[in-house]
Amino acid sequence: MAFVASAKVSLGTQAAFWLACARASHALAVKRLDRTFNTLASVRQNIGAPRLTASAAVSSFESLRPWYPHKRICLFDALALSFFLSSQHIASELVIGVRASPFAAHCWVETGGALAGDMSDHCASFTPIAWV
Amino acid sequence: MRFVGLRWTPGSREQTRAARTIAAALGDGWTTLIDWRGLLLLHLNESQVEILPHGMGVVFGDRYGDGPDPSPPSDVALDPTPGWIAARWGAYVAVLIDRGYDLVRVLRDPSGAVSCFLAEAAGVHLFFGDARDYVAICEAPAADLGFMRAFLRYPLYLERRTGLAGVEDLWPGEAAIFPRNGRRLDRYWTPHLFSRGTPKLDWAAGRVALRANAEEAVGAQARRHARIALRLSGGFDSSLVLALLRRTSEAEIVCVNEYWEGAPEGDERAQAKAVANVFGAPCHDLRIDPATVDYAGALSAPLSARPSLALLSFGNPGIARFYANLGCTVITSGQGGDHLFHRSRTPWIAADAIRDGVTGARAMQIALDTARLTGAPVWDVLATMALGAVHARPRARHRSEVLGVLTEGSEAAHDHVWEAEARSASPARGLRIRQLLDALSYHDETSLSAAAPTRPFLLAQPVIETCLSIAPYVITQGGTERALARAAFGDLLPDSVTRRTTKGETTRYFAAVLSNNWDWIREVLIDGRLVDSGVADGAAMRRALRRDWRQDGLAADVLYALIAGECWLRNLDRTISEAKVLRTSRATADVPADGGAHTHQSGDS
Repeated sequence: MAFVASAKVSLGTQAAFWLACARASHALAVKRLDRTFNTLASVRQNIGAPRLTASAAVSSFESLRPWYPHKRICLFDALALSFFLSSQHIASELVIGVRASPFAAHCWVETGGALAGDMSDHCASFTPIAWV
Repeated sequence: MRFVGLRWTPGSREQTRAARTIAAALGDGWTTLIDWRGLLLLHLNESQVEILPHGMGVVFGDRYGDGPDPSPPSDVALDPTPGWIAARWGAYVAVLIDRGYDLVRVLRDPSGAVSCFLAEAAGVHLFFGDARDYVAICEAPAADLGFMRAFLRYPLYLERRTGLAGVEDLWPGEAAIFPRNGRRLDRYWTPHLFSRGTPKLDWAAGRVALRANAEEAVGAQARRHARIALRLSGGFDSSLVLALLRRTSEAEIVCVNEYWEGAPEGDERAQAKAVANVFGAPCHDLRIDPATVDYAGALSAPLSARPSLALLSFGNPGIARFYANLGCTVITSGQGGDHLFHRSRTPWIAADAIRDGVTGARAMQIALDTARLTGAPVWDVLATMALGAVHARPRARHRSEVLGVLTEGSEAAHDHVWEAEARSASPARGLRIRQLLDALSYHDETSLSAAAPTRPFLLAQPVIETCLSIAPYVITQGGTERALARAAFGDLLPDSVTRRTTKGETTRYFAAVLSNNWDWIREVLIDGRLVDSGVADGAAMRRALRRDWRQDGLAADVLYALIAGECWLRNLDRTISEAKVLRTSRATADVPADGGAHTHQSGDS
């Protein structure tokens, strides 16, 4: 169905999107983020020449995102986007941030020091505590 | 707005005497505007009044649009109210008199910006704009505890009853009709009139109409003022108001950005300054420190007819002093934009398209747009559309359990006509009507009202009607909130504003305020008036206040309602005591009971 609505995104990119989302879903289902982060780190070690620009990759991810049956939750979306960007050989970092009183946590993805698929003024209020 | 109207059966000596006694109880400073055949209309001199020609009546507040009709109809019984609502708008209560048929109509404008309440005393019908005046003239005012329970469950709650027993609300767009005997209520305007049926404005027509009506509404209001204070966050709505003020008026505009650096997510100084610079307006930074907020200030707030979360604003009198020093004659903001431009992100938006008969590729595109807007998978949106097709609707709004502190007792029911209409409207339109109902709280009196009248310029009848005439899925076309508004005003605003879809957050600011006031909150709520009057259970209240509310947003929301309810009950006690003292001192001074203290301005008995 996704290719029906996103004719501009290649079949290979669409396949990579579904695989990335499936990996993120699995990571949340087994509740072992440590292993997921290790997997993500190992995937990134094999990054070659980028297949897309970072902005084009994020744009493709966003155009396909409504088709994946999972509500937007920062951890899921950050993991899925990280796996997807890695599959396109684009370097990225998953950042986890927190704030206090009341406690809140958020995570997002950065590519080349810039936010990918999130709002800067929302993320700015969280203090980063981990980079994956 | 301080006005009081008394209506009784003309010729009834008993009622005439009662009416004069009631009017005398108001005290000094009141002016008689009309004294004619069973109608006595008074106002306190601070109120803005427009006297209509030919004795047609009086308008309290700001009225825009057509002037008064040149002469009233006298040979046929014509109701001028529909014409009034169609050709005029503003923030007003109009008292329209049909002298030929001995009929008095009291109309509250559809935006609900000016309050009007109804009551009865000694056989005399009363209508008035300020609760303090009712307490002054009522023999034994008391709280309506059923209303208090409903308020605590949902603080934006509005219905016919108010916090004062025996006092009813005249709804926006409704008129109280007073013939020679009795009273009836007629509805002339409700949001449903504009949102039902086939959508009246598509994307292109909606853009044009929204632009034209917003310019008219903001311009007309602004032109009454030489110096306007604008609460500017730098977000879309307040920036839009600044752009429209610049475009449509010559008024001097002073922008104010309220910030607290302790919560960076709510500190929008940079955005506000950037926008103000674009429009060449000065922008003041006003630091609002939670450490200086003392909720005890809410205990000296003027009495309103119902409790309101706006009471908490009286905890920070420094803000009001700051605005008073600006020397502006009105304070405005972007309030209302969320409610008018459909900030609500819900899959039910797409269900409205199905209800409007949209099918095929267009329906699929709306489903995708709505999925992008809401962050929900398109499958969830399609499921919601299917539910909409079989006339299912979203759950009714959340009603709090109030941390379990409420005692058993009768509770006022939801009977606001807008609420009833929301239940029969299509799903997203129903939500929009509820949001408009919630937006009425922006007209509540706050501490800022002491500095200058607060008027959310966007919440004007022409803008409200235009937005209601556009389908929700058109307003959010493309999957962006406020999409149509961004398109309509994009050329007026900097790109950074048009693109921005986030807002400053205030959760941590208010958590800090609650924390600083915690000892006082415990003191007033445990064994306070809510417990004393039987609305809340003392032991349950103690248990609830032991809970860690800091990590529970819902608990914090309940606390705000409890504080507002408690302060309102104490303010009622205080106002009643003050009224008694005044009455006693006036009786001692032997003031004549025939209203002799009043200045007679235009009486025509």
